[in-house]
Amino acid sequence: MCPMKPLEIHTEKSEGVTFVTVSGYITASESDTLDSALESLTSEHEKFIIVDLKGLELITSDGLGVLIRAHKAAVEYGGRFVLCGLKGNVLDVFKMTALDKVLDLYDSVDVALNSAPT
Amino acid sequence: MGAWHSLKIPSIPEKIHDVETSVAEVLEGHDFSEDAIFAVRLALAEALANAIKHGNRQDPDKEVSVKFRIENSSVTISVRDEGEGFDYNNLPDPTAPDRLEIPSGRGVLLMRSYMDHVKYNNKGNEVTIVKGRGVSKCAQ
Repeated sequence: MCPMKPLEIHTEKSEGVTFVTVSGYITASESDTLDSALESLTSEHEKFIIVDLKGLELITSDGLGVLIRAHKAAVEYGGRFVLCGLKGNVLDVFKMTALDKVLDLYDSVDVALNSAPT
Repeated sequence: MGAWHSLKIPSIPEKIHDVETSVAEVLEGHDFSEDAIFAVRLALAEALANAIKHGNRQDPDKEVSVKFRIENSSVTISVRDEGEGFDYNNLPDPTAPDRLEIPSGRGVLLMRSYMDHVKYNNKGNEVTIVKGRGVSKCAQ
């Protein structure tokens, strides 16, 4: 078993889009770090935030809650907050909790980038 | 019957990953499937978070007790806190349309979804979860 990688978050802005790459695992102790990173973006009313979760290995309910809060904040100021790259067991967590009905999920960054607002 | 392994951790969320990683390593050594190990990591992390945050309210003087046992085809894990417990039978459904955007309240749903059995004691301060070994990729 490969040990899970600790949480890493990278943010980059380009041509009006904010790209956030999240990898590693998120349990209750890491969710505050993710919350701070996303809250700093939504508090600046970033218009289009794409979160690439391709490298996410585990997410618990606390991490899901952070994503829901960021999504709601963005919608409230008229921005877009989308997730992409989810696969396998981690994608199943979103489906199991029915969050695939609430959050905007895309297969990849490219697909998210070219998507029309829902 | 396998022997029970026991440990106690302080009520700090940073300990969650250490515990679920330790248990995952033991499960791998007993040929549990990758999917089963993922499920146990997730459910155990939820159980520990509930115990630390809601049960013990992160009180540094309170501990969380964890014990687990591997049997032939499954693992049984109990997580107990020193809190007052809660009414686990009357939790709202977080997948109901009017609750989907509420950020909290999914931990027990995830435990029930990923485990074969989830049982609380009467007080509600101890949860026992059971997961079968599953089919390892080597055996497929």
